[in-house]
Amino acid sequence: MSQSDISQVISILETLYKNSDPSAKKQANDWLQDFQKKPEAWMVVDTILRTPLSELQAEAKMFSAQTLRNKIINDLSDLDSSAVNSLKDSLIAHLKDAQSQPQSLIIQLCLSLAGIAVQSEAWADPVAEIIQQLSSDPFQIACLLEFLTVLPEEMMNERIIVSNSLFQDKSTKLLTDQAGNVIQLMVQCLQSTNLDANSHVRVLGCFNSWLKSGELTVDMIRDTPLIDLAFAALDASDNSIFETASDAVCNIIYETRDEAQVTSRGHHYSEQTNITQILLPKLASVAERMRSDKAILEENDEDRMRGYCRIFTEAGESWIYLITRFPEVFEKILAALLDCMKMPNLEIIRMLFNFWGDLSDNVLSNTEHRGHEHIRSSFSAVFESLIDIIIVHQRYPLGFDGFSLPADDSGDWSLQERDEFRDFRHNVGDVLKDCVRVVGEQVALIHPYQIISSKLSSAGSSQSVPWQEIEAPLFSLRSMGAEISPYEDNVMPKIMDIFSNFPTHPKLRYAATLVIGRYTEWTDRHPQYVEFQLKYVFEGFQDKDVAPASALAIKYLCKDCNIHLVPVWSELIGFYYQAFPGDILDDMDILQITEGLAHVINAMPDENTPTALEQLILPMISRLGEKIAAGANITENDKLDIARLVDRMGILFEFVELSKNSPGIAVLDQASVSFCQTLTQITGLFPSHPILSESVGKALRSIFDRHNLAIKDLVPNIAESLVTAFRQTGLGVYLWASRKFIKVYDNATREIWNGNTTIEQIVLTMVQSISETTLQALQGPESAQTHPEIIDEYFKLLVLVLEGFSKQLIRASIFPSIFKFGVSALSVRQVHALDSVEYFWSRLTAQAMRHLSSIKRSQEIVINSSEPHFPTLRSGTNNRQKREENDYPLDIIVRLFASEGYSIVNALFDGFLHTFPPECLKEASNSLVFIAKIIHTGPQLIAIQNLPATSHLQNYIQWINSIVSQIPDSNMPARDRELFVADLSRCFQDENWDKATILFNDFRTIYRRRSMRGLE
Amino acid sequence: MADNSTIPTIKLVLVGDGGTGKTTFVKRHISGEFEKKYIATIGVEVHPLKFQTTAGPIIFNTWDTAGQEKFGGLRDGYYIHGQCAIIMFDVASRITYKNVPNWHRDLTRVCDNIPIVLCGNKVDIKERKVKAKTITFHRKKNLQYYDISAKSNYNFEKPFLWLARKLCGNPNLAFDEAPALQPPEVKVDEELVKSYQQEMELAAAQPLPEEDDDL
Repeated sequence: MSQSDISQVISILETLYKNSDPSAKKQANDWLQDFQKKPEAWMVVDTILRTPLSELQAEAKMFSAQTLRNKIINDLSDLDSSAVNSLKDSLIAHLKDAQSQPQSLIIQLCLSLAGIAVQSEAWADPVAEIIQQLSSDPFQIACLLEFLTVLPEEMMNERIIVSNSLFQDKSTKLLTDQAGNVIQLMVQCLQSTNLDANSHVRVLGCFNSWLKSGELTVDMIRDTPLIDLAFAALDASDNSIFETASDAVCNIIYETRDEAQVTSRGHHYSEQTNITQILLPKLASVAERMRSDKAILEENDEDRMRGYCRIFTEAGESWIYLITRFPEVFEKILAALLDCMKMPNLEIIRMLFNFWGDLSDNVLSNTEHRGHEHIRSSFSAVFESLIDIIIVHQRYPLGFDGFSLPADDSGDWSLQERDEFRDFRHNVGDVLKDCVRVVGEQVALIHPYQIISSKLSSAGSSQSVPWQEIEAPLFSLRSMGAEISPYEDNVMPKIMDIFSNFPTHPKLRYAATLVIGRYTEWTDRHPQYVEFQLKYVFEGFQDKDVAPASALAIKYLCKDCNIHLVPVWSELIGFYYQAFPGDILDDMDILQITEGLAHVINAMPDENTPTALEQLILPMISRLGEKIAAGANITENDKLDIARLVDRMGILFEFVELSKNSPGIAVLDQASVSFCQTLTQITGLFPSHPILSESVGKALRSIFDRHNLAIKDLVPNIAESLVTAFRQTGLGVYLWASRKFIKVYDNATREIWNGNTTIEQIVLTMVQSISETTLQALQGPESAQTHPEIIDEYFKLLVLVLEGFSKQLIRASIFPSIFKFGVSALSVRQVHALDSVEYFWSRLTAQAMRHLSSIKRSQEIVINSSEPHFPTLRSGTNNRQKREENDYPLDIIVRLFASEGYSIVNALFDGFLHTFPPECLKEASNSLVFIAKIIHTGPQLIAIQNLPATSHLQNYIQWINSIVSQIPDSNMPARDRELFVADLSRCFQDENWDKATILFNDFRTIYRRRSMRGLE
Repeated sequence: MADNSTIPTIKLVLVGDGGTGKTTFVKRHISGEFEKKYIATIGVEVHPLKFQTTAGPIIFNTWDTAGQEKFGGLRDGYYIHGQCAIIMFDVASRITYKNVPNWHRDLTRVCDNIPIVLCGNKVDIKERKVKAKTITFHRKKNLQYYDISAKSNYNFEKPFLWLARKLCGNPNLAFDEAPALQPPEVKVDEELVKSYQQEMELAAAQPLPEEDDDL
């Protein structure tokens, strides 16, 4: 090593960090990566660390320390025990010299030392040695505390690989046996007059690390000043100290979980616990401090809000069983938790939601299963307060007019913040549901009811009441909906009775309309309200802002109260067609109403259904007909109109459900036939229109699902139209629809056509054509990346065909091309597309395996059956089985895997090592082993022309060998790679397939750890 | 071409497991003249992302550590002088969330006390595996959390706005103009996000409809 090595590292680092030219950066990056892996790097970086700072930039020192640490994790085996020893001494020396260096460098040096301590068997007592070496002055003690902080973290660091026995030994010697010493050391630091407040913060950090490691118990520290230190540090005005302190308090509370669990089993509350004697009084004063903390009250300090919320949430969650059993003991904690809920930051108070949910679950299970009715009643007050707090949080800001957004920057109420507020209202609504479960529906409903009625009476006495104050309790009613029974007869009628008194405001009407929409099951049991509600909801259609709510409410009224709406059918259908021309409703609203009408038809007496269906469907069909008659040369608006009509018809076919003998069926069948004809026409006219094609695809899917029998005569046309449109446009929607087609007709129509082979031919022609289109469109090397959606749909479709028509698919002349395409498609990165491709391979290999095994079994049976006990039965089974096996074209599959094996194994193995996401790894390793099995056992079991019976495993091993031999030494030494190939080869010879899977997985783990420097 | 030399420049470190969409995320932003300089997949790519704020322009020099999965990479070697960070995970993959504490620890060991945003990327919002309720890591640390969708631009600027506010110590800072973003890549996702927002208000309190089994 020379001075030039060092200056080279420095100048290249300069390029990496400062030069903005990407190619120079890339070169620098590659060089440094390479450098880090070389054995020379040990010495170079050690020298850089030894050189005084003035001569070297901070970056070079930092990089050197990081390099050392990475090498200690990955390459410590490069060094013999004396080299490790001198490295350790060198690191201690660097630390001692690091007085003027940034803390981040000191942390890296300590991480290196900890890395050696965790791995080195030769270093007998690292903790004692470091304590002894680093305690002569406050700076060294700061370093010592840093080392002790990272030591437990590095012990648990998964990137550091040690044997199980060494891990056990080290964690005992480095942590468990040292816990007492470390406590003593921390206490000495606190008591030393030499050390300043900064050191106390370091002590707190170290304390946190050991608490988190689980090595300290509250009993070990209860008589030390450490607990006081943690609580006292909450007073610090510095927010990072406050955060460390709240960490420590949370960790101490966490350590009392076991104690809480044991105590909660007793009949009476035991006072003799750390919780009661130490933590409860301290937390009571934290609560006092929180209530008067100026940083929260005056400066809206979010970090402090978060800190307090964390502490009380930790207490609540850790002691949940105790709190449930003995609420009177934890009164102050519960009060503090309610105060936390009042904090004005919606994002922060979310962290309390889980606690309230768990608490209500526990209160209820104690009440229901153990008969402790008093528990529920003693929590009533808490949950009633919670209801009131939540309703305040659900209130829109008073400055917000309800719909529009401020055009200038005067308000802080952006679209996104509004969306976040909406999210929040719904999430906090789940807590409201929990409240209802505890206090009961009647008590819960009284809260919003009383707020609403008192606001209304103020409004009546001519005081102005902001709409927000009535809207919030209305919203809370929607949140509670799921927990309110349709039979509630006490408060709900009162609430429904005051709807007519609301002041006029669109946002109020919007909220009230949605309440109606939420309580339609209740209305179904209280039909006297139907007339008023329907009128109220219809009035909402006058206002564009309210209309979407009205459309939703109509849908649910029609669905849940359909019997009560049958008498008003003519008004409904009249409204439906009258509402169309206006621009008051958007497409989604009209779809909601369309669905509603379908539900009303479902409730009609059978004899009324034909007329109602005709009233609903015929105008749409005839409008569709008119639009299409104009041919392809129509305006964009006309095309969108067609799409809308198609969507509505699709909804009808999805939701209308008539009884078997209803005379409406004939109308529906006829309509589905003419609708399908229209759909194929549309596809012919506008195959590439992005919106129309989606609408047609969706409508076809719902017809395939529900009315496949009615349209069976059209099946060839539909199939033809789908593949033609796909050929013309390459749009995924046609694959999506074709997939449903194949699924439905594979399952359902074998019986319909009574063994007629038509459907089979249709499906196979479809697959042939779709495959030709896909393979041709995506033949370039990059095309898999650019069309993941098509890849996804296409392979999903293939898997479906493999289930129903595997023999025919494999025999198809295009299958070898599909097979090759499946290999190149493995390069797709989009995770769902890749998942589909992998699933295809896994199905294909598993299917072939199944057939091979059953041949093998039957051959064994034949061999063993020289003295059959049940000759008739056995030979019968055999023959049938054999026929089936003979039918499956195993020869084609085996031949393909034998001849194309290298490319598929290469693609799978490369992806397995480098690009596949974790979800796809299992299938990849399974497929890799299945392929070996297929090419090994296949030619032995069945004679295949021009294919030798043996030697395929050797080929396979050669393929693997040629792949791993390309891995650079710096990513994995040659001996490790050779060992893997040899092990794999042995596994295959022994036919130990399970072990082969393990070998693949282990190889990947080790390879990734080394070459990715522990990125995982 | 504006002269960027006088504009305050912040080093932002973008970390997270491979495949969580870091590169897609950072490439949503079109920073005019810088755009053409991107070279695909090197150990680290630095993207200067410029935002107009009410307090003037600001550039986030974003160190995208993507690509190192295959070739190694210097890991925490990129973090030095980092002034803020984004940790990304994929809500469709639990393991990427499990690794968030490791990324956080490695970061704070090099860059103490910098503002950090945790982003759950909706790589595909159809199959959310890490439920909102289980994303609790950020409440333990001083971290801000956002759901984002790199593909549909959903919440793209939120992390940057929060970081800019923290770094300037000005909670009322706002972006003057929406950042120029690439058009959303995938129509389906955009629609899902849109319909999700719409339906949220209308239908969240309603019982959930049954889902199409093979959508």
